[in-house]
Amino acid sequence: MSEIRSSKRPWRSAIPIVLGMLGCAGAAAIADGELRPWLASGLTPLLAMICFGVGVLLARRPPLAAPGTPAVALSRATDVALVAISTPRPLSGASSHSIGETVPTPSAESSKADRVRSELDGYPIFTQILNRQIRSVTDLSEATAASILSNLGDVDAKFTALLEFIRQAGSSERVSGVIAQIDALMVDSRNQLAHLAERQLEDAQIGIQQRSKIGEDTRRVLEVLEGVNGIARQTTMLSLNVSIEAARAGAAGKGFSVIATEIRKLASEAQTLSTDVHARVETLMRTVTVDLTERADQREHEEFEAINSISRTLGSLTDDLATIVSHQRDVLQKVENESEAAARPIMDIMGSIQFQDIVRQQLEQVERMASMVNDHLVSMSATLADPSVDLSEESLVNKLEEMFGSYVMADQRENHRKAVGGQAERETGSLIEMF
Amino acid sequence: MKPVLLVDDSPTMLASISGVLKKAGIGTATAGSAEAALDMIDRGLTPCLVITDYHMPGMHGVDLIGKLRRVATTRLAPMLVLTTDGEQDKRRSAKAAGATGWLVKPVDPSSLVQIVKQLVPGL
Repeated sequence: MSEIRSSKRPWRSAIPIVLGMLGCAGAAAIADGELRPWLASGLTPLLAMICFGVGVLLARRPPLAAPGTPAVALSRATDVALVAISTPRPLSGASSHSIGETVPTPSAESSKADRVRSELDGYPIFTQILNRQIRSVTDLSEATAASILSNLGDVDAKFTALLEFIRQAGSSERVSGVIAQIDALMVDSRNQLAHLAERQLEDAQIGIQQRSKIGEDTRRVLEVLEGVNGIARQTTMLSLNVSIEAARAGAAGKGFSVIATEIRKLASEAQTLSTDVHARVETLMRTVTVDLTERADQREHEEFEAINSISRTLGSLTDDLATIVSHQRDVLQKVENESEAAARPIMDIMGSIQFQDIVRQQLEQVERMASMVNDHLVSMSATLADPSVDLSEESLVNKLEEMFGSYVMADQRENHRKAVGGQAERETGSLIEMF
Repeated sequence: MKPVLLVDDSPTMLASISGVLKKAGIGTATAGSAEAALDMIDRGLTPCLVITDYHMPGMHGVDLIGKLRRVATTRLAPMLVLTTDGEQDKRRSAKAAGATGWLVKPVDPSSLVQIVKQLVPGL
Protein backbone atom coordinates (compact mmCIF):
# COMPACT_ATOMS: atom_id res chain seq x y z
CA MET A 1 0.00 0.00 0.00
CA SER A 2 2.81 2.34 0.80
CA GLU A 3 4.11 1.90 -2.69
CA ILE A 4 0.69 2.69 -4.12
CA ARG A 5 0.45 5.85 -2.03
CA SER A 6 3.96 6.73 -2.89
CA SER A 7 3.24 6.54 -6.55
CA LYS A 8 0.55 9.19 -6.08
CA ARG A 9 2.84 11.69 -4.45
CA PRO A 10 4.32 13.98 -7.04
CA TRP A 11 4.15 16.85 -4.53
CA ARG A 12 7.66 16.32 -3.38
CA SER A 13 9.12 17.08 -6.75
CA ALA A 14 7.29 20.39 -6.77
CA ILE A 15 8.70 21.70 -3.50
CA PRO A 16 11.88 23.10 -4.99
CA ILE A 17 9.83 24.56 -7.84
CA VAL A 18 7.54 26.33 -5.40
CA LEU A 19 10.33 27.65 -3.31
CA GLY A 20 12.20 28.58 -6.44
CA MET A 21 9.15 30.54 -7.55
CA LEU A 22 9.06 32.44 -4.30
CA GLY A 23 12.65 33.41 -4.81
CA CYS A 24 12.00 34.21 -8.44
CA ALA A 25 9.05 36.44 -7.57
CA GLY A 26 11.13 38.51 -5.20
CA ALA A 27 14.16 38.56 -7.46
CA ALA A 28 12.02 39.54 -10.44
CA ALA A 29 10.49 42.37 -8.43
CA ILE A 30 13.93 43.66 -7.54
CA ALA A 31 15.18 43.22 -11.06
CA ASP A 32 12.19 45.12 -12.41
CA GLY A 33 13.18 48.05 -10.23
CA GLU A 34 9.84 48.12 -8.47
CA LEU A 35 11.50 47.93 -5.07
CA ARG A 36 13.55 50.73 -3.68
CA PRO A 37 16.96 49.93 -2.14
CA TRP A 38 15.62 50.12 1.39
CA LEU A 39 12.88 47.68 0.53
CA ALA A 40 15.26 45.42 -1.34
CA SER A 41 17.50 45.31 1.69
CA GLY A 42 14.54 44.16 3.79
CA LEU A 43 13.61 41.51 1.27
CA THR A 44 17.13 40.16 0.94
CA PRO A 45 17.02 38.08 4.19
CA LEU A 46 13.69 36.79 3.01
CA LEU A 47 15.10 35.58 -0.28
CA ALA A 48 18.06 34.17 1.58
CA MET A 49 15.70 32.08 3.70
CA ILE A 50 13.91 30.86 0.61
CA CYS A 51 17.16 29.90 -1.02
CA PHE A 52 18.18 28.22 2.21
CA GLY A 53 14.99 26.17 2.19
CA VAL A 54 15.54 25.22 -1.42
CA GLY A 55 19.10 24.30 -0.60
CA VAL A 56 18.00 22.06 2.25
CA LEU A 57 15.59 20.30 -0.03
CA LEU A 58 18.09 19.92 -2.80
CA ALA A 59 20.71 18.67 -0.37
CA ARG A 60 18.38 16.01 0.87
CA ARG A 61 16.94 15.12 -2.46
CA PRO A 62 18.78 13.03 -5.06
CA PRO A 63 18.26 13.61 -8.75
CA LEU A 64 14.78 12.37 -9.60
CA ALA A 65 14.91 8.94 -11.11
CA ALA A 66 13.08 8.45 -14.33
CA PRO A 67 10.14 6.08 -14.11
CA GLY A 68 11.44 2.56 -13.97
CA THR A 69 14.96 3.51 -13.03
CA PRO A 70 16.36 0.95 -10.59
CA ALA A 71 16.78 2.20 -7.11
CA VAL A 72 19.99 0.24 -6.68
CA ALA A 73 22.00 3.18 -7.85
CA LEU A 74 21.06 5.07 -4.71
CA SER A 75 23.26 4.04 -1.87
CA ARG A 76 22.01 6.09 1.04
CA ALA A 77 19.16 4.62 3.01
CA THR A 78 17.17 7.81 3.13
CA ASP A 79 17.55 8.20 -0.58
CA VAL A 80 16.01 4.79 -1.02
CA ALA A 81 12.95 5.93 0.88
CA LEU A 82 12.65 9.12 -1.18
CA VAL A 83 13.00 7.19 -4.41
CA ALA A 84 10.33 4.84 -3.15
CA ILE A 85 8.07 7.88 -2.92
CA SER A 86 8.95 9.37 -6.24
CA THR A 87 9.29 6.27 -8.41
CA PRO A 88 6.09 4.77 -9.83
CA ARG A 89 5.72 1.13 -9.02
CA PRO A 90 3.31 -1.56 -10.15
CA LEU A 91 0.10 -1.87 -8.19
CA SER A 92 0.44 -5.65 -7.83
CA GLY A 93 2.12 -7.25 -4.89
CA ALA A 94 4.78 -8.78 -7.13
CA SER A 95 8.17 -7.35 -6.41
CA SER A 96 9.73 -5.31 -9.13
CA HIS A 97 13.18 -5.52 -7.64
CA SER A 98 15.72 -7.58 -9.47
CA ILE A 99 18.34 -9.71 -7.79
CA GLY A 100 21.05 -7.66 -6.20
CA GLU A 101 18.91 -4.56 -5.62
CA THR A 102 18.74 -2.99 -2.16
CA VAL A 103 15.23 -3.57 -0.87
CA PRO A 104 14.34 -1.46 2.14
CA THR A 105 12.73 -3.29 5.01
CA PRO A 106 9.35 -2.10 6.37
CA SER A 107 10.95 -0.88 9.58
CA ALA A 108 13.54 1.06 7.63
CA GLU A 109 10.83 2.66 5.50
CA SER A 110 8.88 3.57 8.61
CA SER A 111 11.93 5.17 10.14
CA LYS A 112 12.59 7.16 7.00
CA ALA A 113 8.98 8.18 6.79
CA ASP A 114 9.21 9.43 10.37
CA ARG A 115 12.26 11.41 9.46
CA VAL A 116 10.58 12.88 6.42
CA ARG A 117 7.47 13.68 8.49
CA SER A 118 9.68 15.31 11.08
CA GLU A 119 11.27 17.39 8.37
CA LEU A 120 7.90 18.36 6.97
CA ASP A 121 6.77 19.39 10.46
CA GLY A 122 9.48 22.00 10.39
CA TYR A 123 8.04 23.76 7.38
CA PRO A 124 5.12 25.42 9.19
CA ILE A 125 7.74 27.26 11.22
CA PHE A 126 9.47 28.20 8.01
CA THR A 127 6.26 29.49 6.42
CA GLN A 128 5.34 31.30 9.63
CA ILE A 129 8.68 33.08 9.58
CA LEU A 130 8.26 33.71 5.87
CA ASN A 131 4.80 35.18 6.35
CA ARG A 132 5.89 37.33 9.25
CA GLN A 133 8.90 38.58 7.34
CA ILE A 134 6.69 39.43 4.37
CA ARG A 135 4.17 41.14 6.61
CA SER A 136 7.00 43.06 8.25
CA VAL A 137 8.29 44.22 4.86
CA THR A 138 4.75 45.15 3.79
CA ASP A 139 4.12 47.10 6.98
CA LEU A 140 7.49 48.79 6.76
CA SER A 141 6.99 49.77 3.13
CA GLU A 142 3.50 51.06 3.86
CA ALA A 143 4.68 53.08 6.85
CA THR A 144 7.63 54.41 4.89
CA ALA A 145 5.45 55.31 1.92
CA ALA A 146 3.06 57.12 4.26
CA SER A 147 6.01 58.92 5.84
CA ILE A 148 7.43 59.90 2.45
CA LEU A 149 4.05 61.20 1.36
CA SER A 150 3.59 63.07 4.60
CA ASN A 151 7.03 64.67 4.39
CA LEU A 152 6.49 65.42 0.73
CA GLY A 153 3.19 67.02 1.57
CA ASP A 154 4.92 69.16 4.21
CA VAL A 155 7.65 70.18 1.76
CA ASP A 156 5.03 70.97 -0.85
CA ALA A 157 2.96 72.97 1.63
CA LYS A 158 5.98 74.98 2.76
CA PHE A 159 7.09 75.51 -0.82
CA THR A 160 3.60 76.61 -1.82
CA ALA A 161 3.39 78.93 1.19
CA LEU A 162 6.77 80.45 0.32
CA LEU A 163 5.72 81.05 -3.26
CA GLU A 164 2.45 82.52 -2.11
CA PHE A 165 4.36 84.83 0.23
CA ILE A 166 6.59 85.92 -2.64
CA ARG A 167 3.53 86.48 -4.79
CA GLN A 168 1.81 88.47 -2.06
CA ALA A 169 4.94 90.45 -1.24
CA GLY A 170 5.71 91.41 -4.77
CA SER A 171 2.56 90.79 -6.69
CA SER A 172 2.14 92.81 -9.85
CA GLU A 173 -1.22 94.05 -8.66
CA ARG A 174 0.14 95.28 -5.39
CA VAL A 175 3.20 96.95 -6.89
CA SER A 176 1.10 98.37 -9.68
CA GLY A 177 -1.25 99.79 -7.07
CA VAL A 178 1.61 101.48 -5.23
CA ILE A 179 3.06 102.76 -8.47
CA ALA A 180 -0.33 104.03 -9.58
CA GLN A 181 -0.66 105.83 -6.27
CA ILE A 182 2.78 107.39 -6.63
CA ASP A 183 2.07 108.28 -10.23
CA ALA A 184 -1.19 109.92 -9.20
CA LEU A 185 0.69 111.97 -6.63
CA MET A 186 3.21 112.97 -9.25
CA VAL A 187 0.53 113.93 -11.70
CA ASP A 188 -1.11 115.96 -8.96
CA SER A 189 2.22 117.59 -8.18
CA ARG A 190 2.79 118.38 -11.83
CA ASN A 191 -0.70 119.83 -12.07
CA GLN A 192 -0.04 121.95 -9.03
CA LEU A 193 3.22 123.15 -10.54
CA ALA A 194 1.45 123.97 -13.79
CA HIS A 195 -1.22 125.82 -11.86
CA LEU A 196 1.49 127.66 -10.00
CA ALA A 197 3.12 128.58 -13.26
CA GLU A 198 -0.18 129.90 -14.58
CA ARG A 199 -0.68 131.89 -11.43
CA GLN A 200 2.81 133.24 -11.78
CA LEU A 201 2.09 134.25 -15.35
CA GLU A 202 -1.11 135.93 -14.26
CA ASP A 203 0.75 137.71 -11.47
CA ALA A 204 3.34 138.86 -13.98
CA GLN A 205 0.64 140.19 -16.28
CA ILE A 206 -1.04 141.92 -13.37
CA GLY A 207 2.35 143.41 -12.47
CA ILE A 208 2.76 144.67 -16.01
CA GLN A 209 -0.71 146.15 -15.91
CA GLN A 210 -0.01 147.73 -12.56
CA ARG A 211 3.29 149.10 -13.80
CA SER A 212 1.48 150.47 -16.84
CA LYS A 213 -1.14 152.05 -14.63
CA ILE A 214 1.56 153.58 -12.43
CA GLY A 215 3.21 154.97 -15.54
CA GLU A 216 -0.09 156.39 -16.69
CA ASP A 217 -0.80 157.92 -13.29
CA THR A 218 2.71 159.29 -13.24
CA ARG A 219 2.26 160.88 -16.62
CA ARG A 220 -0.96 162.50 -15.41
CA VAL A 221 0.84 163.81 -12.32
CA LEU A 222 3.54 165.22 -14.61
CA GLU A 223 0.89 166.80 -16.77
CA VAL A 224 -0.64 168.35 -13.65
CA LEU A 225 2.77 169.61 -12.69
CA GLU A 226 3.16 171.08 -16.22
CA GLY A 227 -0.14 172.83 -15.57
CA VAL A 228 1.18 174.13 -12.26
CA ASN A 229 4.32 175.34 -14.02
CA GLY A 230 2.18 177.09 -16.63
CA ILE A 231 0.13 178.78 -13.94
CA ALA A 232 3.35 179.81 -12.21
CA ARG A 233 4.71 181.31 -15.47
CA GLN A 234 1.46 183.12 -16.17
CA THR A 235 1.41 184.31 -12.57
CA THR A 236 4.95 185.66 -13.02
CA MET A 237 3.93 187.42 -16.23
CA LEU A 238 0.90 188.76 -14.46
CA SER A 239 2.99 190.05 -11.55
CA LEU A 240 5.34 191.78 -14.07
CA ASN A 241 2.38 193.45 -15.70
CA VAL A 242 1.14 194.55 -12.25
CA SER A 243 4.60 195.97 -11.46
CA ILE A 244 4.55 197.95 -14.76
CA GLU A 245 1.13 199.31 -14.04
CA ALA A 246 2.17 200.14 -10.48
CA ALA A 247 5.17 202.08 -11.81
CA ARG A 248 2.86 204.13 -14.03
CA ALA A 249 0.63 204.92 -11.16
CA GLY A 250 3.54 206.48 -9.30
CA ALA A 251 3.31 206.78 -5.57
CA ALA A 252 -0.23 205.42 -5.55
CA GLY A 253 1.02 202.18 -7.15
CA LYS A 254 3.80 201.48 -4.64
CA GLY A 255 1.62 199.09 -2.66
CA PHE A 256 0.69 197.18 -5.82
CA SER A 257 4.38 196.99 -6.75
CA VAL A 258 5.13 195.25 -3.42
CA ILE A 259 2.25 192.84 -3.93
CA ALA A 260 3.38 192.06 -7.47
CA THR A 261 6.90 191.37 -6.23
CA GLU A 262 5.56 188.95 -3.60
CA ILE A 263 3.30 187.26 -6.15
CA ARG A 264 6.29 186.80 -8.49
CA LYS A 265 8.27 185.25 -5.63
CA LEU A 266 5.43 182.83 -4.92
CA ALA A 267 5.13 181.96 -8.61
CA SER A 268 8.88 181.36 -8.78
CA GLU A 269 8.82 179.15 -5.70
CA ALA A 270 5.79 177.25 -7.09
CA GLN A 271 7.63 176.68 -10.36
CA THR A 272 10.75 175.52 -8.50
CA LEU A 273 8.69 173.21 -6.39
CA SER A 274 6.84 171.86 -9.44
CA THR A 275 10.11 171.21 -11.25
CA ASP A 276 11.45 169.37 -8.21
CA VAL A 277 8.32 167.25 -7.93
CA HIS A 278 8.48 166.58 -11.66
CA ALA A 279 12.05 165.33 -11.34
CA ARG A 280 11.17 163.13 -8.34
CA VAL A 281 8.16 161.66 -10.11
CA GLU A 282 10.22 160.91 -13.19
CA THR A 283 12.77 159.12 -11.00
CA LEU A 284 10.01 157.19 -9.30
CA MET A 285 8.51 156.23 -12.66
CA ARG A 286 11.86 154.94 -13.89
CA THR A 287 12.27 152.94 -10.71
CA VAL A 288 8.85 151.42 -11.10
CA THR A 289 9.01 150.72 -14.80
CA VAL A 290 12.62 149.55 -15.02
CA ASP A 291 13.79 148.07 -11.71
CA LEU A 292 10.59 146.34 -10.73
CA THR A 293 10.12 144.97 -14.24
CA GLU A 294 13.62 143.59 -14.29
CA ARG A 295 13.21 142.01 -10.88
CA ALA A 296 9.86 140.52 -11.78
CA ASP A 297 11.22 139.12 -15.02
CA GLN A 298 14.18 137.62 -13.23
CA ARG A 299 11.99 136.05 -10.53
CA GLU A 300 9.59 134.72 -13.16
CA HIS A 301 12.45 133.19 -15.08
CA GLU A 302 13.90 131.56 -11.98
CA GLU A 303 10.54 130.16 -10.86
CA PHE A 304 9.83 128.87 -14.34
CA GLU A 305 13.19 127.13 -14.39
CA ALA A 306 12.58 125.66 -10.93
CA ILE A 307 9.16 124.33 -11.93
CA ASN A 308 10.54 122.83 -15.10
CA SER A 309 13.34 121.20 -13.13
CA ILE A 310 10.89 119.69 -10.64
CA SER A 311 8.68 118.50 -13.47
CA ARG A 312 11.61 116.84 -15.22
CA THR A 313 12.65 115.17 -11.95
CA LEU A 314 9.15 113.83 -11.43
CA GLY A 315 9.06 112.49 -14.97
CA SER A 316 12.39 110.76 -14.51
CA LEU A 317 11.17 109.27 -11.21
CA THR A 318 8.10 107.89 -12.98
CA ASP A 319 10.31 106.25 -15.58
CA ASP A 320 12.46 104.69 -12.84
CA LEU A 321 9.39 103.32 -11.10
CA ALA A 322 8.13 101.85 -14.36
CA THR A 323 11.50 100.13 -14.78
CA ILE A 324 11.26 98.75 -11.24
CA VAL A 325 7.75 97.46 -11.90
CA SER A 326 8.89 95.83 -15.12
CA HIS A 327 11.78 94.16 -13.29
CA GLN A 328 9.42 93.08 -10.52
CA ARG A 329 7.10 91.51 -13.08
CA ASP A 330 10.02 89.64 -14.64
CA VAL A 331 11.04 88.30 -11.22
CA LEU A 332 7.49 87.18 -10.44
CA GLN A 333 7.18 85.53 -13.82
CA LYS A 334 10.41 83.68 -13.16
CA VAL A 335 9.15 82.60 -9.72
CA GLU A 336 5.89 81.36 -11.22
CA ASN A 337 7.73 79.47 -13.95
CA GLU A 338 10.02 77.84 -11.40
CA SER A 339 7.00 77.02 -9.25
CA GLU A 340 5.36 75.23 -12.14
CA ALA A 341 8.62 73.43 -12.92
CA ALA A 342 8.96 72.28 -9.31
CA ALA A 343 5.34 71.13 -9.13
CA ARG A 344 5.92 68.45 -11.77
CA PRO A 345 8.62 66.44 -9.94
CA ILE A 346 6.71 66.73 -6.66
CA MET A 347 3.64 65.35 -8.39
CA ASP A 348 5.71 62.57 -9.98
CA ILE A 349 7.17 61.58 -6.61
CA MET A 350 3.69 61.48 -5.12
CA GLY A 351 2.56 59.30 -7.99
CA SER A 352 5.53 56.97 -7.70
CA ILE A 353 4.44 56.02 -4.18
CA GLN A 354 1.89 53.78 -5.92
CA PHE A 355 4.68 51.22 -6.10
CA GLN A 356 4.04 50.39 -2.45
CA ASP A 357 0.50 49.20 -3.20
CA ILE A 358 1.79 47.05 -6.05
CA VAL A 359 4.55 45.55 -3.89
CA ARG A 360 2.04 44.97 -1.11
CA GLN A 361 -0.23 43.01 -3.40
CA GLN A 362 2.68 40.97 -4.75
CA LEU A 363 3.90 40.16 -1.24
CA GLU A 364 0.40 39.28 -0.13
CA GLN A 365 0.20 36.89 -3.07
CA VAL A 366 3.51 35.31 -2.00
CA GLU A 367 2.13 35.11 1.52
CA ARG A 368 -0.99 33.31 0.33
CA MET A 369 1.15 30.93 -1.70
CA ALA A 370 3.37 30.17 1.28
CA SER A 371 0.30 29.50 3.39
CA MET A 372 -1.06 27.15 0.75
CA VAL A 373 2.27 25.27 0.59
CA ASN A 374 2.31 25.16 4.36
CA ASP A 375 -1.17 23.63 4.51
CA HIS A 376 -0.16 21.14 1.87
CA LEU A 377 2.97 20.11 3.74
CA VAL A 378 1.00 19.77 6.96
CA SER A 379 -1.40 17.50 5.14
CA MET A 380 1.49 15.47 3.72
CA SER A 381 3.01 15.17 7.14
CA ALA A 382 -0.28 13.98 8.61
CA THR A 383 -0.56 11.39 5.86
CA LEU A 384 2.93 10.11 6.58
CA ALA A 385 2.14 9.91 10.27
CA ASP A 386 -0.85 7.69 9.59
CA PRO A 387 -0.19 5.38 6.61
CA SER A 388 -3.72 4.04 6.85
CA VAL A 389 -5.11 7.33 5.68
CA ASP A 390 -5.57 7.36 1.97
CA LEU A 391 -4.04 10.35 0.28
CA SER A 392 -6.78 12.33 -1.33
CA GLU A 393 -4.97 15.63 -1.18
CA GLU A 394 -4.77 17.44 -4.52
CA SER A 395 -1.26 17.63 -5.89
CA LEU A 396 0.80 20.73 -5.22
CA VAL A 397 1.31 21.22 -8.93
CA ASN A 398 -2.45 21.40 -9.42
CA LYS A 399 -2.83 23.76 -6.50
CA LEU A 400 -0.15 26.00 -7.97
CA GLU A 401 -1.94 25.99 -11.28
CA GLU A 402 -5.15 26.94 -9.49
CA MET A 403 -3.27 29.75 -7.83
CA PHE A 404 -2.33 31.06 -11.25
CA GLY A 405 -5.96 32.05 -11.69
CA SER A 406 -5.85 34.22 -8.59
CA TYR A 407 -3.12 36.48 -9.90
CA VAL A 408 -4.28 39.99 -10.72
CA MET A 409 -1.12 41.41 -12.23
CA ALA A 410 0.41 40.61 -15.58
CA ASP A 411 3.83 40.46 -13.90
CA GLN A 412 2.62 37.78 -11.50
CA ARG A 413 1.32 35.65 -14.34
CA GLU A 414 4.52 36.21 -16.30
CA ASN A 415 6.71 35.20 -13.36
CA HIS A 416 4.63 32.08 -12.81
CA ARG A 417 4.90 31.06 -16.46
CA LYS A 418 8.67 31.57 -16.40
CA ALA A 419 9.04 29.62 -13.13
CA VAL A 420 7.24 26.54 -14.46
CA GLY A 421 9.14 26.70 -17.71
CA GLY A 422 6.21 27.85 -19.80
CA GLN A 423 6.26 30.15 -22.78
CA ALA A 424 6.17 33.84 -22.02
CA GLU A 425 2.94 35.42 -23.20
CA ARG A 426 2.76 39.15 -23.66
CA GLU A 427 -0.62 40.19 -22.36
CA THR A 428 -2.53 42.67 -24.45
CA GLY A 429 -4.53 45.57 -23.10
CA SER A 430 -3.35 49.12 -22.69
CA LEU A 431 -2.55 50.55 -19.28
CA ILE A 432 -5.11 53.28 -19.90
CA GLU A 433 -8.35 52.37 -21.65
CA MET A 434 -11.28 54.70 -21.97
CA PHE A 435 -14.58 53.02 -22.76
CA MET B 1 -16.28 72.72 -6.93
CA LYS B 2 -17.36 69.10 -6.43
CA PRO B 3 -14.53 66.78 -5.31
CA VAL B 4 -13.14 63.68 -7.00
CA LEU B 5 -14.05 60.64 -4.87
CA LEU B 6 -11.15 58.18 -4.46
CA VAL B 7 -11.98 54.66 -3.25
CA ASP B 8 -9.16 52.26 -2.34
CA ASP B 9 -8.38 49.97 0.58
CA SER B 10 -4.74 51.06 0.44
CA PRO B 11 -4.08 54.23 2.46
CA THR B 12 -0.91 54.68 0.45
CA MET B 13 -2.81 54.73 -2.83
CA LEU B 14 -5.36 57.17 -1.43
CA ALA B 15 -2.61 59.46 -0.20
CA SER B 16 -0.65 59.18 -3.45
CA ILE B 17 -3.51 59.83 -5.88
CA SER B 18 -5.06 62.44 -3.61
CA GLY B 19 -1.69 64.21 -3.42
CA VAL B 20 -1.29 64.17 -7.18
CA LEU B 21 -4.77 65.58 -7.81
CA LYS B 22 -4.47 68.20 -5.07
CA LYS B 23 -1.15 69.29 -6.55
CA ALA B 24 -3.05 69.87 -9.79
CA GLY B 25 -5.58 71.96 -7.90
CA ILE B 26 -8.28 69.28 -7.85
CA GLY B 27 -10.19 68.68 -4.63
CA THR B 28 -10.64 65.11 -3.41
CA ALA B 29 -12.61 63.00 -0.96
CA THR B 30 -11.34 59.55 0.05
CA ALA B 31 -13.00 56.31 1.15
CA GLY B 32 -11.23 53.15 2.35
CA SER B 33 -13.87 50.79 0.99
CA ALA B 34 -16.81 50.65 -1.39
CA GLU B 35 -19.19 50.54 1.56
CA ALA B 36 -17.64 53.68 3.03
CA ALA B 37 -17.96 55.38 -0.35
CA LEU B 38 -21.67 54.52 -0.57
CA ASP B 39 -22.14 55.81 2.96
CA MET B 40 -20.50 59.13 2.00
CA ILE B 41 -22.80 59.39 -1.03
CA ASP B 42 -25.81 58.66 1.18
CA ARG B 43 -24.73 61.46 3.50
CA GLY B 44 -24.80 63.96 0.66
CA LEU B 45 -21.41 63.83 -1.04
CA THR B 46 -21.80 64.56 -4.75
CA PRO B 47 -18.50 63.84 -6.50
CA CYS B 48 -17.77 65.10 -9.97
CA LEU B 49 -15.79 61.93 -10.70
CA VAL B 50 -15.22 58.55 -9.00
CA ILE B 51 -11.91 56.67 -9.13
CA THR B 52 -12.14 53.27 -7.51
CA ASP B 53 -9.88 50.29 -6.97
CA TYR B 54 -11.16 46.95 -8.24
CA HIS B 55 -9.97 44.50 -5.57
CA MET B 56 -11.11 45.57 -2.15
CA PRO B 57 -12.26 43.65 0.92
CA GLY B 58 -16.05 43.45 0.78
CA MET B 59 -17.66 45.00 -2.26
CA HIS B 60 -15.33 45.33 -5.25
CA GLY B 61 -14.98 48.37 -7.44
CA VAL B 62 -17.17 47.31 -10.34
CA ASP B 63 -20.06 46.48 -8.01
CA LEU B 64 -19.63 49.92 -6.50
CA ILE B 65 -19.86 51.50 -9.95
CA GLY B 66 -23.01 49.51 -10.67
CA LYS B 67 -24.60 50.78 -7.47
CA LEU B 68 -23.51 54.37 -8.02
CA ARG B 69 -25.07 54.27 -11.49
CA ARG B 70 -28.40 53.75 -9.76
CA VAL B 71 -27.96 56.72 -7.40
CA ALA B 72 -29.47 59.94 -8.72
CA THR B 73 -26.58 62.18 -7.67
CA THR B 74 -23.87 59.99 -9.19
CA ARG B 75 -25.78 58.46 -12.10
CA LEU B 76 -24.11 60.68 -14.69
CA ALA B 77 -20.69 61.11 -13.06
CA PRO B 78 -17.66 59.64 -14.87
CA MET B 79 -16.24 56.60 -13.06
CA LEU B 80 -12.76 55.14 -13.49
CA VAL B 81 -11.33 51.85 -12.25
CA LEU B 82 -7.72 52.17 -11.04
CA THR B 83 -6.28 48.73 -10.36
CA THR B 84 -3.25 46.49 -10.73
CA ASP B 85 -5.49 44.05 -12.60
CA GLY B 86 -5.40 44.20 -16.37
CA GLU B 87 -7.61 41.25 -17.29
CA GLN B 88 -9.84 41.79 -20.27
CA ASP B 89 -12.82 40.00 -18.73
CA LYS B 90 -12.80 42.36 -15.78
CA ARG B 91 -12.48 45.34 -18.07
CA ARG B 92 -15.53 44.16 -19.98
CA SER B 93 -17.48 43.67 -16.75
CA ALA B 94 -16.50 47.17 -15.66
CA LYS B 95 -17.65 48.60 -18.98
CA ALA B 96 -20.93 46.73 -18.67
CA ALA B 97 -21.41 48.11 -15.16
CA GLY B 98 -21.02 51.64 -16.42
CA ALA B 99 -17.34 52.42 -15.91
CA THR B 100 -15.91 55.23 -18.00
CA GLY B 101 -12.38 53.90 -18.19
CA TRP B 102 -9.82 51.43 -16.88
CA LEU B 103 -6.42 52.49 -15.55
CA VAL B 104 -3.69 50.04 -14.59
CA LYS B 105 -1.48 50.90 -11.60
CA PRO B 106 0.92 52.58 -11.46
CA VAL B 107 -0.69 55.33 -13.46
CA ASP B 108 1.41 58.24 -14.68
CA PRO B 109 0.45 61.31 -12.60
CA SER B 110 0.35 63.69 -15.57
CA SER B 111 -1.78 61.28 -17.57
CA LEU B 112 -4.16 60.88 -14.65
CA VAL B 113 -4.55 64.63 -14.25
CA GLN B 114 -5.08 65.01 -17.98
CA ILE B 115 -7.78 62.32 -18.02
CA VAL B 116 -9.54 63.79 -15.01
CA LYS B 117 -9.55 67.26 -16.57
CA GLN B 118 -10.84 65.87 -19.84
CA LEU B 119 -13.66 64.02 -18.11
CA VAL B 120 -14.58 66.97 -15.90
CA PRO B 121 -14.04 70.18 -17.85
CA GLY B 122 -13.54 73.20 -15.65
CA LEU B 123 -11.55 71.46 -12.94
